[in-house]
Amino acid sequence: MMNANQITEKLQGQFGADRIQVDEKAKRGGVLVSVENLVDTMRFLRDDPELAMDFLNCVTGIDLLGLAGAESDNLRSLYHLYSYAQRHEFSVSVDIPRDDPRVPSMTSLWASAIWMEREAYDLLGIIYENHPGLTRLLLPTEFEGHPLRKDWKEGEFVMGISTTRDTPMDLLKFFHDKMGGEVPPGLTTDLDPPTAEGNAPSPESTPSSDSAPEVE
Amino acid sequence: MTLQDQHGEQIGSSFQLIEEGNELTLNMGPHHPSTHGVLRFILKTDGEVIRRCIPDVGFLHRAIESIGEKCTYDGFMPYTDRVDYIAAMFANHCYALAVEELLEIELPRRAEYLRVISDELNRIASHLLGLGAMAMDIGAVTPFLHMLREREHINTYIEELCGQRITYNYQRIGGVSHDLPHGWRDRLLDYLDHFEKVIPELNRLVTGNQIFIERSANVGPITAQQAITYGLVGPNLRSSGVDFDLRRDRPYSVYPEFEFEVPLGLGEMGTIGDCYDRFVVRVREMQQSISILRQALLKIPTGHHMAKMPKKIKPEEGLHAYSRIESARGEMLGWVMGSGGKNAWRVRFRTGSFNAMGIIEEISRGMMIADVIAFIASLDIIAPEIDR
Repeated sequence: MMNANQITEKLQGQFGADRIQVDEKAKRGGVLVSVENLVDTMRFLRDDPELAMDFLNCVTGIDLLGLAGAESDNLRSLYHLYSYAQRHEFSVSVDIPRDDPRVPSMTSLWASAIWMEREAYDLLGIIYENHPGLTRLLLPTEFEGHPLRKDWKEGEFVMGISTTRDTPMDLLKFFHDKMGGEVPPGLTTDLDPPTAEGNAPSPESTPSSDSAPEVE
Repeated sequence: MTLQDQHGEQIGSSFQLIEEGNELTLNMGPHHPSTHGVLRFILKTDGEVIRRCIPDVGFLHRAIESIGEKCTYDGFMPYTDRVDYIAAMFANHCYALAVEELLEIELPRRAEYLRVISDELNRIASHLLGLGAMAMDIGAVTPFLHMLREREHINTYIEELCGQRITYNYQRIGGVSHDLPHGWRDRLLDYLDHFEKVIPELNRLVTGNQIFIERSANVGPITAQQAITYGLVGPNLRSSGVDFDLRRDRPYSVYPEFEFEVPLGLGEMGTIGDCYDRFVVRVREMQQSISILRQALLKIPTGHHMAKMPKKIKPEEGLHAYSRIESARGEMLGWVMGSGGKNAWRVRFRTGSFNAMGIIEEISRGMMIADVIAFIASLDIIAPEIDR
């Protein structure tokens, strides 16, 4: 069993301190590597008998666009690892350029990456190269865009379904017209269009409004 | 609507049978009664034998991770219930633990005990439903009703604790929402004496039943190597013979203070890691939960049920922490990244059912259709937990 500092030192001894950057923001320790070094680092983490990270616990896609303190608008792929043999854990993250979000897939090392990378592709548009089938997982095939990106905006229609709804007050207006202008007791009427005298309802169209409280 | 499998190959369109030579493409679900929640499988079969079984998920996707970015930290708490509505306590616990780790909050010991008690109660309730549903999928309807009866009792106890029967919102950041009600402890101890006798009843009805054994033994065995590389967690992992339980091996909360065993799959009726093993491991886990509950109820210390919390929860920007807890469906990982403001920058849940789905296509090759039903049921998959 090794703690995060020992694992970081071992990685830096293997690959050189300039290629393994400590992730200061990770509470339980972790490192940042570049896209080119990712596969080597991960393979070393898995195959070295002292490290023996046999369980890829989680793949998380993160969008850093607009995060205070972040130097760039990169996407990030974060891997949580655990070793059943050695009972220690570690995390590795890799920053991916936003305009060309390509990163090697981990599916050849851990089969659990197949679904988790599909999810990160689906929600953040990170392209995992050499993945056996990088298709959408949770969202429909026809869905456009990647909704967990910070610059994603919901359109007026998503797959032909409107994303806006009538306000409930409009439904009440329909009810109001259908009842012949009668307002159910307890409801005041902001429903009438503003008249020349102001917003006050006319007394004959709202017989029950006497008992209802006035709402401005 | 066209559909592609995970190898990018076109496998047909929705709700349509396609026949190619001897191969029949068959749609199973999304409303198939034996799938747990809204799940869909596309089966490529040769007669009764499955050539491929391709899961199609996402019907219950409610963008919980996205909601987590739009709510305040404590405002997100009720949404975590919906990650897994059969065992809502665990997602509560997982998220609360991740945020507490981010803020470095120490909990009062009574709060930790209350968390363990509610977790273990919920684990029993969830396993009861999972076991009952598996028995029902195989054809035994009666045990399901017995299990639901017991689950109702447990729901009533949890309702007294927090006012809810399904989505509890009991565990909060910094503790739990309510202390124990008056007399609850003794009544629960009495109930546990009763419930202990239900497990032999379940064993007589299902576990030792010859039909059940023949339907589940040697069906869908998963080796330890496969289970680890596909990332199976919890009871599914342990039934493949991997001796690992987060409560014992990477303890959180106050679990080191209790004595309990970790049941493993032994291959009693067939191969290690078959459907029967997964069933039996869950039955034995319920027994261990009873033991933990008894110890916790007898040892519970006095004190507060909430820690002193800062007025505003505002973790530093970019700082991230995660928690791992042993949920009813195996290890759940909750991960939170602070934004410097009152909302999280990113929230992530990695759940047990999600990982279990990934292995179905691999293991189900060459199975009979009826065995696939037993296999899926034995993994104890809950659809909302996959889709989140």
